[in-house]
Amino acid sequence: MTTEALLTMLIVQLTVTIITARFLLKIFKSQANSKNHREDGRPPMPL
Amino acid sequence: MDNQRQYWGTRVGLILAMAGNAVGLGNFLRFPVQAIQNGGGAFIIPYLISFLLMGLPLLWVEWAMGRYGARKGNHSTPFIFESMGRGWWIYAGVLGLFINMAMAAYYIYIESWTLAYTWFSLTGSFDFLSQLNVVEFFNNYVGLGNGLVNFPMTAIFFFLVTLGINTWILSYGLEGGIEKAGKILMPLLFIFGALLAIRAVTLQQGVFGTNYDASVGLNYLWEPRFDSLADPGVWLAAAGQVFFTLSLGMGSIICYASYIRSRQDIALNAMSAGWINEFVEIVLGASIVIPITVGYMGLDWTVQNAGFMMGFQTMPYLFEQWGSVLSTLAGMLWFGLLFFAGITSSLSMGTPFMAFMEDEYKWSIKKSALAFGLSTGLLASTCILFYQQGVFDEFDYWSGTVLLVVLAFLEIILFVRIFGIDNGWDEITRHADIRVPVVYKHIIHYVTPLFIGAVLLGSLITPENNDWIAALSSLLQGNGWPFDANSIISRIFHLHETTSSWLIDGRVTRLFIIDMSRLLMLLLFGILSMMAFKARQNRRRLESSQPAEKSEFELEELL
Repeated sequence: MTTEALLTMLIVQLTVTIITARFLLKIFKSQANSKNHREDGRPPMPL
Repeated sequence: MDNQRQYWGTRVGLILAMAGNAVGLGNFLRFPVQAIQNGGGAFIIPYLISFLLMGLPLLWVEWAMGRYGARKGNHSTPFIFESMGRGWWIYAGVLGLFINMAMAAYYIYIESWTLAYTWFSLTGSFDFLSQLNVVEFFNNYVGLGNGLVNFPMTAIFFFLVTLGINTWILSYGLEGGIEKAGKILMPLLFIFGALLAIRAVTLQQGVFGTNYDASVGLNYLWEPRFDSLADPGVWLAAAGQVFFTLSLGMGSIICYASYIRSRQDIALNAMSAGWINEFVEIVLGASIVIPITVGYMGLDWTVQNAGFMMGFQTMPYLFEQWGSVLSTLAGMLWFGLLFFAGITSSLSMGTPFMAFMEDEYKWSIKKSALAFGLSTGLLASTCILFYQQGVFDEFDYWSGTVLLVVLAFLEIILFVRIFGIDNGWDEITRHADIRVPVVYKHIIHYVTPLFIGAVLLGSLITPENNDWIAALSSLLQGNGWPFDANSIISRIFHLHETTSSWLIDGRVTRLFIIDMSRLLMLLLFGILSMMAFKARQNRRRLESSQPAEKSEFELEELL
């Protein structure tokens, strides 16, 4: 496998994995199992 | 059970159901093929740009439309659209019912193949078959032959089982059926996908008869061919892939989003569901089919034969090379994975029709699920019996390709022009758990409609072999525009059909069957439009006899 292909694959797949994990973490932080989780009036989290 | 009281039980359940709606067979069979045909690693550039400028904004728009519609007591696209735009928008919303029903007709049939192939893998039906035998096995399975009508008994049996499973899950409603299924099936999909991906990327030359290392296929898939970025066809292919993978323009996301609570976030939820789909597609989907196929069949064969059907006509043969135990396991994981991806999507296709019947005709959940199952069975029978004559392909082309882009275009126009971008932006950011960058307000206003418009135009006049540069030069030289067989213009006017008659020597032609299938689709749209019209009359009659009441959702918002 060429270095270029390997780097492209690793960068793209790692970036997508990290972004997905980051958003899922945010979900869990904001009460994953609540039915009406925004009632406490907390300000939105940064993106 | 009154559907006004239906809500998603938990946030995780909602996100898994939404992600399940998006994750489908295309994540594993369409994305890698598109990537190798459109620039390899460089394909990811237009793909991610399309995701950020069209996919993500449209996801927010659809979620916002759903939650807004629910505030007015609506859960189906005809009345959600009407609540945002009035007048004829109700009929644009009917497209949201039609697309899902027409798609379910052929999609559940494909889904049933995956169930059947899981069974065949378990029972050793592919043992000792050559690659050609596996192709023949598939042809026999779908009943290909010389007659006008195919009557594949085994395929019909598995289709009825699959349809039964869908109907059964749907009959338990949102929380007890769809959400529970998503919570079980999506984690299984991740596990099956990860196991297969690990096996695929660690294939070594010479082991189990492999001709090449997995790295050869991965190299071809990820080696960036930057010159491809100058080709408009590559950009349109990337935008199209983003579009289809996220299940945009179907109406099912709007319907699912109409069951969230009034104060629930949509910004972070939509983002999470969208990125889960991207993870499945880019990380898992890209790591299974291509490395395994190239490992055995070589690069040239894979490039020439890459396509959706590889999943059924090639993969069973390749798994067979791994020995009896591993091949059974791999077949079960692969087709099980596809089945989970398929069923989580097909469940979302049943929901819009059910929501419409429950809202407007006060049908119970079980009755609407049964009606969906029966009508899908009837429609699907044409796809199954006339598979060889192109009916399956017609349903796929019009409902699963063209109309998605048309509905998405109508949605974005309704959202930014009729409803108003300021109202729309308020809806997206209301109760948001994340700060949505303001630049997205402008992207949704100007860029996303242009993007969808370009995809629509691209589909309308797709040039032969998707070669835009050659087509432009042909046009400039006065030789006309060479339409591809899959362009909308070509399909409407049958430009690539070998005959223009319905009858030859007293026998009906393929063209006749295709035109009849189009008539059937028009009839379905007509029936759904009539039902929407009647429902609107009922609503007006009720409104004039009773003072307007606030919906449960509006009351919840006021509290």
